[in-house]
Amino acid sequence: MNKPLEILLVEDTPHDAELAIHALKERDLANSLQHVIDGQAALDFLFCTGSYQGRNPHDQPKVVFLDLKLPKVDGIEVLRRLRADERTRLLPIVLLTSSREERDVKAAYDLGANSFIVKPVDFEGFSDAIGSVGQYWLRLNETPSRK
Amino acid sequence: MTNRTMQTAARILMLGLAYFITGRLVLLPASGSHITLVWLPAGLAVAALLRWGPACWPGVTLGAIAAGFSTGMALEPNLGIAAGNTAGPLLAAWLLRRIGFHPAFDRKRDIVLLATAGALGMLICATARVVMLGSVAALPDDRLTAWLFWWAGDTMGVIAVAPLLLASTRDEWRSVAVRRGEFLSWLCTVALVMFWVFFLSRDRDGRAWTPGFVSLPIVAWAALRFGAIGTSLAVIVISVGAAYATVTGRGPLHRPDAHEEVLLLWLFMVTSAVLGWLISALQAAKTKATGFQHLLEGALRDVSLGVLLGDLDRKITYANAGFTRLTGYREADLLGKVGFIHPGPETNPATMEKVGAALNGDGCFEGEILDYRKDGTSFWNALLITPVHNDHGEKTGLLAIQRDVSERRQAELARNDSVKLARSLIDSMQDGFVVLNPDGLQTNANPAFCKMTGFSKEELIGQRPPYPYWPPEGQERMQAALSAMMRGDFKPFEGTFMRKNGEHFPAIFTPSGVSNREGRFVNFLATVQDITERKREEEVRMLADQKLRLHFDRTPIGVIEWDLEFRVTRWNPAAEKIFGYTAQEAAGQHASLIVAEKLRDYVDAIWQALLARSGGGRSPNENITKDGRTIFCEWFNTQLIDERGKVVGVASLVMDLTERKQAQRMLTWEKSALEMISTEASLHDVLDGLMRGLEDQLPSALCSILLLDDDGIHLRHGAAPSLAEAYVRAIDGVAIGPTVGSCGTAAYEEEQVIVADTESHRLWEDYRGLAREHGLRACWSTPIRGDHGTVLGTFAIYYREPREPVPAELELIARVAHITRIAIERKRAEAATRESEEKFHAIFENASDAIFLLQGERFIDCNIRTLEMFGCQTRDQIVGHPPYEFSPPLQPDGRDSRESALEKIEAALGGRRLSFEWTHRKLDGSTFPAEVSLNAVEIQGGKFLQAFVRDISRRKRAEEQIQALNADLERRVEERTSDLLSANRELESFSYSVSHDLRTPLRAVDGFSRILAKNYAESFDDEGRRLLGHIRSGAQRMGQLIDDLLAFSKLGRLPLAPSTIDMGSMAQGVFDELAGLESGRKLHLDLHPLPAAQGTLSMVRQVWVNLIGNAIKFTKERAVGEIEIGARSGGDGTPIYYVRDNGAGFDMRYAAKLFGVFQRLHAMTEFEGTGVGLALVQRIVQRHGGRIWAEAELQRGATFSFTLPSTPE
Repeated sequence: MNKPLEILLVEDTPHDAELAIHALKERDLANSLQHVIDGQAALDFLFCTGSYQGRNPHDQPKVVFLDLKLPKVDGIEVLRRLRADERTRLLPIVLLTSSREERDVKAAYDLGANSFIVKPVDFEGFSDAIGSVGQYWLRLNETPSRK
Repeated sequence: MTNRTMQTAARILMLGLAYFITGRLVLLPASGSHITLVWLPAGLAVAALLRWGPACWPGVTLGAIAAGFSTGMALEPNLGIAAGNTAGPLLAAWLLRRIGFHPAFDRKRDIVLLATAGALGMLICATARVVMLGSVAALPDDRLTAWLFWWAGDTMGVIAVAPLLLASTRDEWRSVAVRRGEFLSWLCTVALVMFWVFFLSRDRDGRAWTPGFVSLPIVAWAALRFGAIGTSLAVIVISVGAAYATVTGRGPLHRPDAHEEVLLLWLFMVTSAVLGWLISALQAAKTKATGFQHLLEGALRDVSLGVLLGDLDRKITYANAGFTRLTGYREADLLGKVGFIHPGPETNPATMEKVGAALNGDGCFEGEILDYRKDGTSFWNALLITPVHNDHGEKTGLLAIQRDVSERRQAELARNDSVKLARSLIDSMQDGFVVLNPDGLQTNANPAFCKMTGFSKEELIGQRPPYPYWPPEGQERMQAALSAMMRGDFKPFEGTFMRKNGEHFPAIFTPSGVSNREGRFVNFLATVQDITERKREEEVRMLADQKLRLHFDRTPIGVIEWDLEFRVTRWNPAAEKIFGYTAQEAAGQHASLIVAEKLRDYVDAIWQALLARSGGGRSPNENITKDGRTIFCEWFNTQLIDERGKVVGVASLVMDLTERKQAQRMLTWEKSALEMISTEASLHDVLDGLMRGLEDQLPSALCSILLLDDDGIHLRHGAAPSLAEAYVRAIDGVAIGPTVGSCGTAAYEEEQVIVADTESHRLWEDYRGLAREHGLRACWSTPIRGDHGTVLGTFAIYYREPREPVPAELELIARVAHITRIAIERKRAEAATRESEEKFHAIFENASDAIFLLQGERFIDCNIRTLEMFGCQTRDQIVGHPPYEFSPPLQPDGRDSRESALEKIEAALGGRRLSFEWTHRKLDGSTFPAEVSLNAVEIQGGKFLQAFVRDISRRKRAEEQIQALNADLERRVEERTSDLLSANRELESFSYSVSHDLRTPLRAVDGFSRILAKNYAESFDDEGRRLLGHIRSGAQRMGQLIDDLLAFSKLGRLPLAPSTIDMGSMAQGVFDELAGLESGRKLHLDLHPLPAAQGTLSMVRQVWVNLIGNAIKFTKERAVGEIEIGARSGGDGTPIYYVRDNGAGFDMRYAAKLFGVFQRLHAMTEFEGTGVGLALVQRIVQRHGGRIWAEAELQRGATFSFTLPSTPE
């Protein structure tokens, strides 16, 4: 990988994943994007374990788009573990979900999610939401350096 | 061109024309010759130049040239002659002007002057002609003769014509016109004589010329009678006639020798002219003299002076009418007599002597002398006697002029007298008198003033301010008074003056002024009155008065004095207080001021008795005060007797006993009120009675009581015996408030409200019309307070005129309020007692339990249920018996019923409240289980037992059944609950899954079709793109459906969190928000006030969002979406909120489907929506315990109504 990693997309639904990537591409944000399809893969990727053993642990994404409903380890659990670990405590994490369930939103923020996006059915809305958030975390936001 | 130039031009033309015409006329007989014997144009020219001025000379020149050409004369001589003809008259006119010629021809001199000047001027004309014609050899042989002829002819022309033209004034013609008959006969005579002399007679032998003189008398005639014009005419006619006849070879003057003939003719003409003119001048002079004499005579006759002329011997030669009028002597008495003046006995001899000297020719006399008339009366004669001299300075006689100046003399005398009188008056005055001039210089002071101040007159006169009698410390004040006087402000001034010895004294200074004709003051006069003595007397009197006044002013008893007309002369402060009129207002007023109409006769009788000294000393009666109150007074009257024993007035002492009287009345009223309260009468009857009684005490007052309703908000009619029923009805039920008339406000503020005038008081703004309608102007309302100060109602007094209460009335009101309170509380308590008695009796009788009283161990009373329970018919079967008689011998526990019963009775009497199960026995012997409560009660000192007995045989049975059922039920509930819990959990996870998993594929459908449409647009034709659109909108709609459904299902799970909601502002907010999204729509919201509601904020808001959203949605086909939001009160008082629109509405047949999930009454293409909204609304409303329903008509709008009871679920 010649470019530093920018986005980690954790999304099990291939359609949603593709749409998200499409939306990010439209805004030229998907140049350096890693897509994993379940919570365990996400954790493995970020902690450089399992199938990602040997990955450069310093090459962390600028933002993680994390779907809430995931096979194996669900989004909330992934979030909890990431926040619990010193290495990923400050990693910007944006939760994506189809649900408007109040308790999900509350749980996500309680665990320190940076944003919470409800994916609308309408693609324009979805594309705008993903695009704006990506824009924000990749282009505008300054994150604390991880040394 | 100016007027003047025009006039001159016109004159020049006229003159030229006239000159030419006369010239032609005169030249006719001398045709062929240039010589004429009478050159009339010369006269014309001279007269014109004299009258019109030399500026019109061109007329002469023009006329002359024209005349010359008409005779065929060559240009050159003609111009020369014309110049001569112009220069000649100009010279003559110039000479005449220079030497003071007067064209009236009443002086000989004027005739001579005209002839001379004419002759001189014509020298030029004649010379010019001779020279000019000579040069062209058109002249007769003898040039000298020709010159002479011409000169004579021209001069004659001047003499003949100029006077006529110059004297031709209007007056002259008038004098001719007056004598026109004579003038005509003169003309005929002239014609006859001329004809005869010059045309009939012929000179044959040289002597026949004599008849020519016959014409002279004719000239004299004209000169005497017709003035200058007549003379002129005569001269012209005779000259022209003679000349014509002679030239034509006829008449007495014709001579064969032309020279002789001309000389003769010229002599004749000159003679006639000179003769005529001399006579004419003499005649004019005479006329003038006669006219002056007539004028003088007339003046002397009319003048009011006496004029006498006498000769040197003092004999009177003339006495005018003025003299005879003045003296009464007739002319005959005087003429030829010596009698210029008629001295009498009182004539001053010295004056007379001077008059005599003047009469004797020794100088003049001018002076006044007492003269006597013919009838012996005297008059003052202002006399002038002077000698008269002739032209040579010789004394020829005496002139005396007299005038009666008696009146003036008398006036002078009278004036002198009055001045003397005034002076002596001033000198004898008691008061000081000073005269000051406008500069402040003192010019006079009378003896009294000198005496007063101690200064002599000499010391005072010539003084300027500050005057010596001004005290040094009071000079400013005095100066101010003096300045005021100088300005013409003549107000008397009381000041302090100073005597010469330094003593001060008070004085009144009364100024006045004397002004001249222009209104300027020339003198200031002032009297100065020393009032030292008066002041002292005043002081003594004041002291005595003060003492008396003190009593008069301080006494609480009214002191009034009346004159014999029964009018007030004195009126002390106490009287002011009693009757309200100030002393000033009362002074001079008749007693009827304070006496009511109905009592006038009664009071009059008392008055008459007083004047007759036959009684009336004491009289209690009613009076009227200024503010219209009727008061009760006690009067003590005494006649005032003067020193001769005559009644001169009446003094009255008066006491106001109203309050005492009223207090008595109030006591009476209170007593009767309390009596009334203690009767059985109802509250309304009692209040009505109270108010009636009060109105008897307060004439013209209308009393009313309003009672505050139990809700503490509305006032109800209590009593108002005199108020109109319509008014009472209008007030009944009024809600109290801060500005609700007098009573509504008094009850609201819990304070007394005094409205003295309803017309102007702000509290009555809303009730003014009502008050006006019923003629109510004042209303004083007082809250009636019960225990703990709570307001029971209001007590109000109305008046039909504006009025304010006096302190006594306020006190009375307080007492009435108190009594009313007693009445209300008492009667309410009575009613409450009665009600509770009835209630208890009903409970007692209708209770499902048997209730009875025991005294000791026996029944003393029981209710009907007791009879039923024990199977008895009448109370007698029970009363008097002990309870154990209605029990089986043994109770289920095996104890003896009697023993056990007595034991329990004992315990209950000891104060314990017992409740136990007991088996009773009916009269028929059957038993039943019962639950008995037993407790002791104390009634009027006695101790009793109260027992409640409930037949529990049915309960016993039921209890057993219930126990069995309960066991079953409990088991079932347990099962159901666990079912429900698991179902709930399932539902929850289901909806959770739905929200996540159902949406994901939809998003894929939408997203990919969107990408397809965008990125592969060129691969699709229009139909393809349309179908792609369908896919997307289908997916989106599905997403919306899922959202709505989730929201709907979530509603059932959300907990309620009720709070108070301001529905009005919530509805407004929702409307604003939704309407904001509808740009381009015209929406009108009619929002009525909405009562607050209890509910869960977010849910109730959802209700409004859906209902208002629907209203907006379904009105989209209307030009203006009319939305009305309001609330009305439902049957049970719960507010019903409604949203009404003018939209599409719906068919009421489908109303039932309205609130079902996914139920839509309109096609998607008409109005978008998922059909979940109203289901959601219904769910929310139902969860709040409310109801929702709709009324509508197709295309006529819909109304959605809902309730939100305050206690949800």
